[in-house]
Amino acid sequence: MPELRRLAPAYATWIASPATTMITPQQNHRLPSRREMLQRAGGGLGMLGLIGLLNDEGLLATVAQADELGSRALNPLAVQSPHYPAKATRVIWIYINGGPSHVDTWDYKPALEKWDGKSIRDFDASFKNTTGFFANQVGGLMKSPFKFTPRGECGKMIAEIFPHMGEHADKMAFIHSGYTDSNNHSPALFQMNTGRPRMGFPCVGSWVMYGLGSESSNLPGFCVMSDPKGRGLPKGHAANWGAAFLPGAYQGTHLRPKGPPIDNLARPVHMTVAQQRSQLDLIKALNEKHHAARAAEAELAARIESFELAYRMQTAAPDAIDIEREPQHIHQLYGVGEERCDHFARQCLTARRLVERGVRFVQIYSGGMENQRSWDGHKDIEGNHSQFAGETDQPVGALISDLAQRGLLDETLIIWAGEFGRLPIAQTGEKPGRDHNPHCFTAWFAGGGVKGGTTYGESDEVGYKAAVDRVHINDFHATILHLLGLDHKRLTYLYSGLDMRLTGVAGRVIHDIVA
Amino acid sequence: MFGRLPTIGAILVLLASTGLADEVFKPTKPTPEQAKFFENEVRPLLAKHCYECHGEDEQEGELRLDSLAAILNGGTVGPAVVPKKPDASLLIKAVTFQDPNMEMPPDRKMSAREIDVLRRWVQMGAPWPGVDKVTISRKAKATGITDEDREFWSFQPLKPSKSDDASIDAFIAKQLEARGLAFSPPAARRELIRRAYFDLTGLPPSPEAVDAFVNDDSPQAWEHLIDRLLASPQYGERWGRHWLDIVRFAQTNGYERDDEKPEAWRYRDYVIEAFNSDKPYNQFLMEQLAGDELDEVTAESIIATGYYRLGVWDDEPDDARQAEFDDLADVVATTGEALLGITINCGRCHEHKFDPISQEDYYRLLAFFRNIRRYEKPNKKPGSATFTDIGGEHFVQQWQESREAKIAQLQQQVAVRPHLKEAIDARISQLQSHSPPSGWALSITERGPKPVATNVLIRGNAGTPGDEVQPAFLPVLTTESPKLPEQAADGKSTGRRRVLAEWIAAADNPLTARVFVNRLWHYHFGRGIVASPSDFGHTGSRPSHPELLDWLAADFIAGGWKLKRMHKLIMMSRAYRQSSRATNVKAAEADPDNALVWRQNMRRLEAEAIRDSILAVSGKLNPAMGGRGIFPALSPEVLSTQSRPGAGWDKSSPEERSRRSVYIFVKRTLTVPMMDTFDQPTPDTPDPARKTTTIAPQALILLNSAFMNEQASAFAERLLNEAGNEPAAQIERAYRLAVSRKPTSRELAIAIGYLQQQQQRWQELAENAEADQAQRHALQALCKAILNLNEFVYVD
Repeated sequence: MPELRRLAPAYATWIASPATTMITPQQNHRLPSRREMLQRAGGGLGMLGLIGLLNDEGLLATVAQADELGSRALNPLAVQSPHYPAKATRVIWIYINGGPSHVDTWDYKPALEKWDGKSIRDFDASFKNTTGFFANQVGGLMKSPFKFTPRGECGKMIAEIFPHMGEHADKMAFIHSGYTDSNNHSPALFQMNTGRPRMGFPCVGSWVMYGLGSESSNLPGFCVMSDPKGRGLPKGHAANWGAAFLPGAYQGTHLRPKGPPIDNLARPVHMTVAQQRSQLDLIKALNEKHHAARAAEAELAARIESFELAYRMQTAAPDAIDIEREPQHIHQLYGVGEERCDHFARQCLTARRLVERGVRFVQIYSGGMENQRSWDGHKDIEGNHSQFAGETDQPVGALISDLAQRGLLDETLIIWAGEFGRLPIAQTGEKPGRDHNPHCFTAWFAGGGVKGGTTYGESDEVGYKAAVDRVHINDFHATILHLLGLDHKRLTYLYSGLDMRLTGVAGRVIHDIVA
Repeated sequence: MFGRLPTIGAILVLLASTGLADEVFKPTKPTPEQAKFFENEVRPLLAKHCYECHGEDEQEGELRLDSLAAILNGGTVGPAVVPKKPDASLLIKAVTFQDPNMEMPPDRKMSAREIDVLRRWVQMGAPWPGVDKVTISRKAKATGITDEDREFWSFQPLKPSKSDDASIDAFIAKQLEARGLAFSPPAARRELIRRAYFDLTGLPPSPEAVDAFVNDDSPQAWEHLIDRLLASPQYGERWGRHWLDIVRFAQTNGYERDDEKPEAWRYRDYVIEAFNSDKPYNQFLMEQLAGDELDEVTAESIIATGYYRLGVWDDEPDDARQAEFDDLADVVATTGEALLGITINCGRCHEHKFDPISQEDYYRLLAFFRNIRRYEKPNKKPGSATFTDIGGEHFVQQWQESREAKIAQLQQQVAVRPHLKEAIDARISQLQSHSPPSGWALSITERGPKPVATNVLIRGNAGTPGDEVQPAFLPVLTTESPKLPEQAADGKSTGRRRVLAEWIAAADNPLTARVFVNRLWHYHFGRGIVASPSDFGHTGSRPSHPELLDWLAADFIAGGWKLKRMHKLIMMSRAYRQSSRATNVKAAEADPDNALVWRQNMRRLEAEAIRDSILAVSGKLNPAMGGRGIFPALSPEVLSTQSRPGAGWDKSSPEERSRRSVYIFVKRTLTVPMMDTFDQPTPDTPDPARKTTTIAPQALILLNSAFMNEQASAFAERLLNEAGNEPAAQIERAYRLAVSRKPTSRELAIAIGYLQQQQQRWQELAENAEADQAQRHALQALCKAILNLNEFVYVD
């Protein structure tokens, strides 16, 4: 084909030109004026999302001044200053899915020995069979099957199922007086994640992304990991990490538990890296020509850049989650390769690699859906909690040690919490279990800005209800935001005519656990 | 005690206490300790100091302090207690003598210990043991609407210009001229036809259609093009989808099980057909709000009431009563925003912060819906709350008559306007393919002809009802009172929703027509005359061209609330036909946001239009309409994101999967990643103006996804079939299909070079590879690159 040969050199010249692989400020077309961008941004928050990426590349430094680079209107993921200085800048939330039994873990109740076998109504007449979920399986009060021993200098009494985590008792701040509004998994999960027991509200991670922005330009700023052992997802699934009415840029990215963790990262099988690069160069060359005739359209430049970011993500994301790059002793520390906890060890190690690379918020769900597939120990509380503690104890302990050793623990807030607690009575059956308890749960914080070795609030003598210094989920959330330097009353988003907040109209910061 | 004139301080406290309230206050059951504390400490103290003036016998300042509901409701200056917030509570303010105008008890200050008891009690969240038997007397206030409130622009009646010279262009030009600006030149014909196709059908024009239009010298070329597109069945699919955004259409309930709402698809098909048949908008509204209460109830009008059933539904709520009000609140909020363009849901818990809508107004509006039976688990039997049998003989007969009338009308149209033959034939054959109504429709039913009472709920809490209210329209919009029937004609419902529907759909409702024509403008220009299409209140934007808005609204009403003529009116204007290029430097500086419409806006296609266009260009698009929905293939990884992996996601055949995106089954907990990533809104809340984000995962989808690999391969096959083996011909065909033009010589050179180089590489990679296979890979890679062009996903 003679025509082909004649044309090919034009292609060769073009492909060899450095201008085809980079947009440089000099050769770039007239970029929109600062004012133009600001004004246009007012018309639609999302449209200039990627201008921030151009900023990252230094491409807009000439037109957008520093004072505006942090503008959320220009870039929803731009790093934001907190409302006040705070130590923690990142979060890893170990989500204890299904609802852990506080009296069998961290909330030591010696009085249960005394009350063992007695009716809970003798203790608290307000108890109804419908307080839990299974009204016809109500047993007597039941002592914990686990031994408690004092741990750390603070001497916190901790159940024997947490030998590793217990090592860090002096870094933890316990809340024993948490309570929630629902005794059913999905509304309670929604409430723990979004503040309300209903669908359609943004989760804590999304609020934090909105409040602080993302420090990573080639990784998703908010990552969620769920059970990789085929035991399902937390009830209510993706709504637990959704952005609801906040812009979609703030929603959690679910790292898929099986197969490639992020969708569409792998290029088509028959293509080499070089070939995909050529394809991207072709797209870029044609797009730039199109943009040249429409220089005022910032979105077009942003979209051109989005291909470059996508290209980088294809390398950066697999690298971030590739724990095989970690040395042997780190694998051993977390328990990678141990049958009991391999999966969770990998997830905790991944979480550390993510926060190291600037990921803002990581949530790892321990357990799949309900019953014996998660901490939802309706049957055999001893077996259930031994198993799930076994899956998580060493990895979480290792995560805290590892972060501390790298100097990252001060900046990283670790949260251990699930959607509710469990009743101190037995749920009758072949092996006794425990039923849902919305009236009381225990959670702990560790790391950034947390006063270690402290305990806040008390449940009643048997752990049935939160009694002293009660902490509602809204208070819990207010405290998380506070530890990140965000005032829960000022972090608002106007939606549907209302200044929406994570904490609704409530919320109280628990200053006692703040260092 | 709070009966005196409120001081500035008290007003501030009142605002603080209601300001951010977006949440239902739910009194928690007191713990035994709290109950003890209350009975031993708090109640005796209240009885001793307060009940004389604020108890059962006397209510100074309309306040009583002997029930929690009454305390939360407060007196004339506001709630006496804000639970957990002693500093924001008037009660604490009064007993601490902070304000000389409000010192209680008036004779002597309580002891520090007593004050501390009250403070601790408020801090605890005001626990109140026992049943709150007192029905509190929240005196329904006079409407409290002032003339000033009514003067707000959107609450005023339409004031359309009577000038003979009034036109879209005249209004736009007037403002441009006032600033020394002018219209941009008209867009090129190729750009215009793409703009028209995407705006009206959401699909790209075929190369043949482009040629025909570009070469049509007749002065009616543009007009005829618009007519053809409006007559095509794809119009309803495009514009129906816009409506589905506004009413947050979904086909499942959400929450844990996220079960299907059977028959919800009928509502989607109803909407598409309503747009295609140019159903008058006022009738469209009436059918959705009160299709079961109209003089003539049809299968269609019953399906329309599926409107009420689209929201999330909690199948095992903790508090069934509260859940019922959650559902009703969802209906009130959606109706307010979608039809009236006002955000009203604030009124659920407190007075509207910005607009003159009181909490009573909210519950008076809710009262129209109060008798609705709550959605229940699917039960297709007579007496079902959620389903209605639409297979009856009279329904079938009505349907036949209506279809024949539609077809006859279309045939008449063809006779007069032969240029529409093709489009109308397609529409007629579509109508002929419809089957008569049968089975069950997702629909509304009421509890019966006798209305359930509606009470104001203090702080939005179903457990603390206040005074009963009667249905009433929003007083800021009208002084008219609803004339409530004894019951609906068929005796099955109260007939109240029809009364509300008639008020909303009336020509003199100041909002309805304005809001709707603004939506049309929004979708035609990428920005409304009012930039906040579902908020015409104080927090919303003001109209950029108020006279134009009123003129359009009045014209819309005068034209019988018909949409198609409005589309045409807008699209025939010079304003619409302008180029989108920002070549006018002066205008770009003066009005970078283009609020004055000195150019058309360049716009990115929405998720559906991107996917549909890819299918259209690859040649795989299956135009079949209607039905339950399609299930695009999802990877096991995506399916695993559900708590019951894969549950409720069926398999569709490849042909079915290639249908238009409006037919993708809308499952709340499993949105299709491609749609989601390109900003399709969550179906849980209405979205009147989609966001356009540009994020890397979009690029990853268009480069690497299985869907794109399939489509690029189909596109390449198509090129081989239609353009043969010659690269230049293939590339030309590809450009004409994807971006409606020929490539420039430079583009052609680059693309040919790319093909050649890639073919070589593939041959090198696999030593024995067939030249054929390498050529195909190269062509597929080029096809995918073309589907990734900005020119493909942006419309000039």
